[in-house]
Order: sequence, then structure tokens, then C-alpha cells
Amino acid sequence: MNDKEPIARLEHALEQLGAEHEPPRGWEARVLAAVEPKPRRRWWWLAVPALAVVLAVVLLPALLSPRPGALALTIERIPGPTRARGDTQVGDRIHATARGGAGHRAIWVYRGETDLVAVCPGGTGCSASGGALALDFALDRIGSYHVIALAGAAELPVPHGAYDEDLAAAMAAGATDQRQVIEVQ
Amino acid sequence: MELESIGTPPGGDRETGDESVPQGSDPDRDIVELIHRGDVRGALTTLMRRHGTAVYRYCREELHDRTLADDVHQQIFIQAFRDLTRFAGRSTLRTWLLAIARHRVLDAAKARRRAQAHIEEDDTADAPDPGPPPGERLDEARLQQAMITCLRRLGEHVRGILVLRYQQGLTFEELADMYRQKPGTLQARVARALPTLRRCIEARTGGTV
Repeated sequence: MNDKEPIARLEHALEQLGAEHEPPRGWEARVLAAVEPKPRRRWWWLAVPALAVVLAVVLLPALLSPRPGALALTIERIPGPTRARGDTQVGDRIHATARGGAGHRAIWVYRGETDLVAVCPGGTGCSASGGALALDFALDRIGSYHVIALAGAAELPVPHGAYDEDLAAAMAAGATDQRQVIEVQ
Repeated sequence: MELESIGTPPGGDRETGDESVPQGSDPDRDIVELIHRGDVRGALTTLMRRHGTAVYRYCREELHDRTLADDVHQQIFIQAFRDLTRFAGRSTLRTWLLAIARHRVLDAAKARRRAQAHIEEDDTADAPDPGPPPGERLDEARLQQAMITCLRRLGEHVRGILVLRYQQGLTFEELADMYRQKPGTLQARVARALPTLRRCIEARTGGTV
């Protein structure tokens, strides 16, 4: 047998290898679609939503979290048993309430500039409920009563009796204050 | 066997169903000119029209998996599009494209081997083909069927050379560029592989080539 003939036949068969196969329909379009340049987005198209997300993350908790209200001082005057109405007089009582402000609160009452007559907390007639601090005390002498409500994130200083100095110490500790003066005749 | 007698280069006289190529040092010179003019998309379109079918048949033969071949075939032209502007003309554009195809096919085959490492080899390839009575000459269909099976047993390297040489019609010089080996070395490999292929086919079928 001629040995070259089978080899030639093999070579021919190799040339015909896979001749029945055709690429899948639409393949050229798929390749062209794959190489299609993607539209370039301007950076700020990405920056705008990114910024919105950042703002939402930063601001939303602050907006949604319960904000402590500003410090408020309310004073209710309670007339003594011998008097129904009119100016505040010896024998009347006051009920002072401090609400809002930061975590630490206090009510200090001075008669004149140097006489600390009531402190809350830590004194008689002081009570705390519902996030408010209340002080009830009797106006037993004539004079000018300075009622000070204080609130601060840090612990408030202990008052020593000198109105200006105590208030200055509280301010130095970052406290805010509300003040009212009651003239007792 | 004389090396020179191994295979008439299949060349451009074969009918591939693809667009006929223009004449010149590189038959795809027109595509190269499109690239130089900046029309890379146009170059890709012509490249796909002209060589798409041949590259697809190469993928099918090398991968024996229609779905995988479909995917790799498209990836080859996507990569070609990305690299077209770097085509330096050291080979013909067709050889360059087939080099891309070869690498993508090898990558895909390697990935498939990794994925299927735990699955036992399909032994249907080793089952003998039902053949004609011993010694009878094989018909074309049976020859093709047995050849596909026997090519798979030749090993990746030799099979690739045979497919690129005969199915794709690359010259030994073009193969040498692609494989970075001497043309004579590759020619000798083919010369040794063909009788091996013949013996395998005849052993499987009982017929003669």
C-alpha cells in the first residue's frame, strides 16, 4: 500500500475539521455591543448622589434624635395663708421648675448677692421628675431673691454662696442659665 | 517520511464561507489601514466577517464544548478589538488573531480542567467506534468521527499544531512565530503525529484510512 495516500487523506480530513460548525447567529452584534464605549459620566453625576448620601448619614441622626430643649425656668408664686393676691410678700412660697437644657441641672436661689438660701439638688424642697427639676421654698425674709436655673453637659460646680462667683464657675463649666429676680416686700 | 511532503499549505483556495481577502503582503492589509485611520470598530467588523467562522471552528475543535466555544469565540474578538491599535505588523493579522485565539482557548481549557478536576474523566472517548469489517476503508464520516476522538488523545500541544496547520492553514513559519519554535521542529512534530493519528484511527475503527 502506498504509505503517502492515507496520510494525504488524513491531511484532507484535518482540513475539513469542524467545517459543519457555524458561529451562533448574532454573535457579531454581541461583540460590537460588548466593545461599545460606555457613555462617560461627569464626575459630579456621581458626586451629587454621593454627597446626598453623606449628608443624610451625617445630618439625619442629628435631626431625628431627640434634641434637648433650651433651658427654661418657670416660677409659680404661691400666696401665703393670710394673703390672696398682690405683690410677693414674706410668707409666700415659690415653686421653681427647670426644664430642658443639657444633662446636669440645678436651681440655686440667692437672697441678695451673697446669701445662698436654697439649692437643688441637694437641698430641702427639691424634687426631680420627668426630666424636670423642681424646688419649693418659702420666702421668709424681705429682699431680692435671685432664682437661677442652670444646665450643663458637664457636672455643675458646687455653689459656695457668692452669687457672682458661683455663676462664673458655672459658666466656666459650660453651663447655660436662666434667671429671674423676685422682690419680696 | 520526507518532511517537505507533509501537507500542502491549505491557503486561500479553500472555501471557508468567509469574505475573500485582498491581495498584498498581508491579506488583511485593508483592515490594518482601517486601524491606522482610527476606525477600529470598522476594522473589527471586517475582521469578524472575514475570520469569524474560521476562528469559531478552531474554538469548537479545541474545546469540544459548544457553549464554551461560543463564549471564547466572542472573547477573542473583544480582546482583538482592545489590542488592534497595538498590532505592530510583525505577523499577518490573521496569525496575530489566531495567536489570541490560541491563548484564550488554552485559558478556557485550563479553567475547565480546574473546575472539573473532581469529576472523573468521561471514558466514552475510549470506547471503540463501531466500524466496518476489519481492513475495509473508512468512509469520510467515520474517519472524521474517529479522528476527532484520536486528536484528543494526541495531547494539547500536538493537537493545537495540527489544527492550526491544517484546519486554519497556517504555514510552519507562522506556527513558528506563534509557538516560538523553529519551523523544522514543528514540521517534524507534525510528521510524527500523522502516523500516530492514523494508527489510533485504525485501531479504534478496525478499518483503514
